[in-house]
Parts: sequence; structure tokens; C-alpha cells
Amino acid sequence: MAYSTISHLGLITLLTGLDTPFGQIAAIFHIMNHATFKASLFMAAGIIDHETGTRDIRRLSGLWAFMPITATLAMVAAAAMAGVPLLNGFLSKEMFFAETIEVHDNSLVDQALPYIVTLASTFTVAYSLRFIRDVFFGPAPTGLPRVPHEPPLLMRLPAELLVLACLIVGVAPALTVAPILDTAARAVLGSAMPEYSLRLWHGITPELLMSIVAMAGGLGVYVMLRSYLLSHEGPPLLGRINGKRIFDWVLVTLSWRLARWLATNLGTRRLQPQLRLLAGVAFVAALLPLYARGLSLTGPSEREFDLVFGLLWVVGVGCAVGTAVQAKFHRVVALILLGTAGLVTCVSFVWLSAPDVALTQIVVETVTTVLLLLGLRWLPKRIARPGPAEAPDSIRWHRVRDFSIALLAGLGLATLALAAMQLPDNHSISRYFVENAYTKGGGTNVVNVILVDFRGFDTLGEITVLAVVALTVFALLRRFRPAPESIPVPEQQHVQDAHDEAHPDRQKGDTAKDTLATAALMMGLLFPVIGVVAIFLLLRGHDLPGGGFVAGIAMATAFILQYMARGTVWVEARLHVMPVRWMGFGLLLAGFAGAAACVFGHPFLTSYFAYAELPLLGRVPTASALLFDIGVFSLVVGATVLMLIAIAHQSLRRYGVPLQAGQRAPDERAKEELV
Amino acid sequence: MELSLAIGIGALTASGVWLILRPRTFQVIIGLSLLSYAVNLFIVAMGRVRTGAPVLIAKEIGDATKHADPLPQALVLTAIVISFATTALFLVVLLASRGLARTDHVDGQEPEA
Repeated sequence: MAYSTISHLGLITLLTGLDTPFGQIAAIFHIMNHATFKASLFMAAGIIDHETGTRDIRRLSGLWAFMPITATLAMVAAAAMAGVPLLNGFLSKEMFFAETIEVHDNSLVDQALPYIVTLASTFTVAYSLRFIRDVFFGPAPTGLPRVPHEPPLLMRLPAELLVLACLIVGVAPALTVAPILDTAARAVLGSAMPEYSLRLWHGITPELLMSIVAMAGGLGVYVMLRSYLLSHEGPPLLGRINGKRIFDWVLVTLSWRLARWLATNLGTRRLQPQLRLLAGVAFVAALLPLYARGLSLTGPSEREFDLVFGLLWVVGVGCAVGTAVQAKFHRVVALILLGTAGLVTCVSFVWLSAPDVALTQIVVETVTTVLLLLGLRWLPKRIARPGPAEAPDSIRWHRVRDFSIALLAGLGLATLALAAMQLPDNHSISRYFVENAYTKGGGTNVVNVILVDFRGFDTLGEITVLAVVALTVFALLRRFRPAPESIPVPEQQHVQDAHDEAHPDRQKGDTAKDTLATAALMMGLLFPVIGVVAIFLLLRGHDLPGGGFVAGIAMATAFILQYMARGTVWVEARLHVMPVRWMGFGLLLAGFAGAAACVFGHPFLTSYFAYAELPLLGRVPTASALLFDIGVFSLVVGATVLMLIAIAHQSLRRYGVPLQAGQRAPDERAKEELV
Repeated sequence: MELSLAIGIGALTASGVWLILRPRTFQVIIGLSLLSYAVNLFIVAMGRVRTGAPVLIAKEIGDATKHADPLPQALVLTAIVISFATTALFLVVLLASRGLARTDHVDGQEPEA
């Protein structure tokens, strides 16, 4: 019976799929009819199970003698399912047949459709017959768990009502179901309601002939298969296919065997092959469209060779290659070369008319270098071992392969850049920003206006990322355990301390202090100057190169310089930076500046601007974007300082030295000040 | 002019790719920095090479096509800050991994010889 539901749902889907108004009505009608007769059939099955103790059709027979009323109900419902005239199933089945004949798109399926549905209907008749014949007729059942008898009235009543509905809808459709069907069909079809009539007798029509063929065919099929069905489990031929086993097999093959095969043959836990694959895929992905579309290396906008720029990049290329060579054994050298390559990049940005980018690049370059230098303290030295001069073959092969990949990637990107730079500039969407930056954003520095106004939401997301990273760095470092080789004080500090201790008039740490005395004085004096520069960069950002990012990192540099010159303890005895509060304030302010627009009924992050005349300062832009930029500034200061200080604090911690009762670890005090 | 820049981008990329394929974590972090220079330059170069082009706009709109392309610049500005953040995060992961795994190999263990 559950399978028959699937077949009827298929019928309904087919009707809907025919995509005609009449088909939709028939589908709705069949949903209603199917619900009525199938529900009563399931109830009958429940009654039979309840009264006999089994639902196995091969063990049941001859129940007519024990429960004639239930048997009658089931028979009427099954007849409705088979589409016997005078019952509701007949009506919707006839409409279905009519639709399959009417609708044409001249495909093979379309032409075969009337025959296919007649065949399907034949099987419906056959299984309905089988249900009735095998359960209710034949010899009295033997070996049932219970002796069957009629169920109580209340158990039968729902089924009786439903079967009654099958009957009256089947006999007098226009009087009963038509208004309901009309309402439902209008809800689905809207105004496109076709003319249709629900009638029992439409005359001798093709669909009536189809019904008769199906009835006769169903009877024939049942008679032919009867003996087979009694002795075998499942239908012929198809019965060999076990759905559950297929499902399990597919599941195991896809989710386990195939996955394992892919993991062993294509997967790796090692980073290098993954990155190699990534570089390879990126190369191919860039190459394919170029191969298809062609590439021209000479274009109209060829510019004459600039000697200074060329020399600049001689230095740049030298530094890049030098970094690559030195990064393994001489980290500080690599860092210096990296910084120089960064400076060359920065100068190039100035050349390319991108002063904002150059400004940001140089301050970020500075803090990145400081950050990496701080990190180097915890990375034990790697010393080239005087081993055999020739590396093993496998390693040499790896190097050759990686070198080729790197060379290809470099050549590829250089070619691509050269080709792209010589294409005529179509300015695409940039033009919009240039034309509207002042009228809509109130600033003459288009880059800054894009960041804080046009694309303000991106910037908000970006500073959130920065905050999350800073907090992650902080959290990771709280449980940081350095490599054992790095725990003792560095060799240089050791020598200095020994020198200090050898002289009675010196205190431990004096040498380091003396060495940095001049620098410390200068950095101390520079602190307010850098602060002023930072605020200057922040305020002018909307109209001139500058902005929240640059200003924030410049401010953070001011703080970190003090740490470098005087040491963490000295600075924190005098200055409470509290970077987490800076970050929180910044994020809230940026969010508030955006949300303020909502109060005035504008979308989030809409900016407002005006120019105010202030004494001393003159004309000052007071765009709400400035508030947003101050938020960016504050967050960038907090995040940068938090990361740098968190690493710097590691030197204050004592690793592996148990604390005495009541004594506070120096790092705990330091941590509290951060928050 | 374009040629110098293109060669520069190529050299930065090649050095960066070579370094990120190396087995030591410090090499990878330096390689990523070099790659980010290359990519940032590349993106700005997509706005075409314009030396001495105006960056700031006058209050009256002039010819927008003579202006330096602000869009790649804004994108790169964002990229620089984000690459700083990822460098910082990677540095800390690198240090923690060195402390935990006792090796600076990218896989956290020396390869079996």
C-alpha cells in the first residue's frame, strides 16, 4: 500500500508536470481523492492488523467471513484506487487520461504517454484486486496470532466516513466536491481558470476506452501472476533489486570507499604538496583563459624607460632574491632584505600615483618588521651543519621542482602584469568614485572616501577582522610555551649581565640601558611628536593622503618605540595603554557612526558631511565619516599595540620556574594592564 | 617603465613562491610577505601606470579619465592591513608550533628520511 502511494504521488507529479491549467485541477482533485481512499485503506489495514495480529498478505485470507463490514469498506476504497466507475478515483483518473491525450509537445515520451499511463493503471487495478482477493476471499486463515472479528464501532467509523465520501463524490461530483475543488484550483491558478465540468458520463471517449482496457488488463495480470505471488516474496524481476541494499552500497561506496581512495591517493597531511598544488592550479587557471584569448605584449600606452625607476627595481629584485636565499639560515639578514624590498614597493606606489597606499605600506612595513624581530627571540637559531656538501638526490630534485614552479609563477605574473598595463584604460567603475567623491562623500581624497564612505561596510568588516586577529594573538600567547632552547636569556644579554655583575658599581641591566641611552631619550621626545603626526594624518585623511589606518599604526609605532627603548617594565610603570579598551571603543564608535544614519532614516553607514569654520584650525570637514575614521584609528592602535605588547611580554615571563606561595607572576601583572 | 615594474613583480612572486614551498616556517612567513608585495603591486598596476597623475580631486569635477585610478588603491590599502594581521597571526602560530613540536618544519615533524 505504501508503494501504491508512491505510484499515485507519481501520477500527481506527472499531472502537475504537464503544466496545463486542466492538469493542475486534475492534480488537485487527485490529491483530494487519493487522500480519501488511501486513508480509508490504511485504516482498513490497521483494523486488520489489530484484529488478526499480522499484516502479511500471504498469511491472510478469507477474512470476509469474519469481518464483512471492514471487508466491504476496504473493497470500496480499493475499487476507488483502481478507478472503478461511480467512485471518486474514477473521475480524477479519467481527467488524467484525458490530459495525457490532449497535451502534446511531439516528443517520444509525449506520444507514448497514453500507453504508459494505461499500463500503469493496469498495474493499479492488479494490485487493488490482489489486496481484496487475497485478504478477504479464499479459505479461512490458519495460524493467525488472534481470531479475527469485527472491530468496535468507533474504530470503524472514520473509515466508514471516508468511504462514504468516496462514494458520494464518485456519484455526484458536481453537488459535493466541485465548490471545494474550485476554491483550491483558483488558489493555485489565479485568474487562469479553464472551463471544466465534473461529470460522471462524458460519453464514449478515448479515456473511457483506456479505463476499460486497464480494468481488463489488470484482471488478466492478476490472474496470471497470482500463483507466483503466493509463493514468492516481492514482485517478479524487480524483486531481485533490493532498494535498501542498493542504498547501503551507494552510501558505503561514496562516503567511505571513494573518500578513502581519494584521501590515500590525492590527499596529504603535509603542507608543501598542498601549496605546490595551489600554486600549480593558480598557474593553470591564469594560463587557460590567456591561451584561449591570446595575449599581446605591446600596447598603445607604452611609456619610455625610466632609468631611476629601473635602478630602483634592480635593488628590489636583488633584495627579493636575497631574501629567498637567506631566509633559512640568516633570518635577520632576510628580514632586512625583506624590509628593503618593502621599501622599494613603497617607493613604487609613490611612482604609481598612490600616495595613500605608500603611506600605509611604510607604516605597516615598520610594525611588521618590529613584530617579526620580536618573534625571532623565540625561534631558535638554525645553524648550517657542516655535513656533506651535496644534498641527497631526493632533496635536490625537490629543489629543482620548486625552483621551476617559482620561476614559472614569476614569469607568468610578470607577463600578465606587463600585458595588462599596456591595455588601454577603460576606467570601468572607478570613474563613478572620482566623479562622486566630493559631491556625495564630501572629501577630495577619493581613496579615503571609498574606504570610509562608499565601501564603509567593507572597512567595518576589515577592522573587525583586525580586532579578532589581535585577540586571537593575545589568547594564543597566554598559553605560549616557547621552545626549550629559547627559554634561557639570550647570549648577548648573558654577556651584558655578567659584565654588570663583575663591576660593583653597576647594576644588572645597566649596559643595555647605557647602549640605548641616546636612542631612548630621542624616542621619549618623539612620543608626542608622533602622536601629533598621527592625529594630523587622521584629520586630514578625508581630503589629503592619510586616514584612520595610517594614523592608527603611526600612533601604535609611538607606543612600541617606548617599549623598545626603555623596556616593558619601565614603560608600564608610567603608561597604561589598555589596548583592549582602545579596540572596544574604536569598534563601538565605528558601529555607532554607521548606525547614527539609521536614526535619520538612511541606510546603515550613510555618511553626512559639512564644513565647519573653527578658530585657529580654519575650515574643517565634519563628515560623519570622520567619526567612523576615528573609530578605525582607535581600533587599529589598540589591535597593533595589543599584538606587539603581547609578544614583548613573553620576555617577562619565567618559564618552568615554579612560583612561591603568595608571589605573583610578573606576566599576570602585565596581562591585567592590557585589559 | 612598465617593463621594470613587471620584472619587479615577477621577481617578488618567484622569490615568494620559492619560499612558501620551503619546509621551514620562517621561510614561509617571509615568502608570504614577499608574495603580498607582488600581489599589491600587481593590483595597483591594474589601474595602469600613471606617473604624476592627480590623486586628489578638485571641487569642480574635471576629466575623470586623467585621474589616478582610486579603486585598486583602496583595495590594496585594505589588503596591506589584512596581510599585516595574517602575518601577526601566522607568527604567533609559528612560535607556538615551534614550542610544542620542537621543530620548525611546516608539518610539525621532521620528514622521515
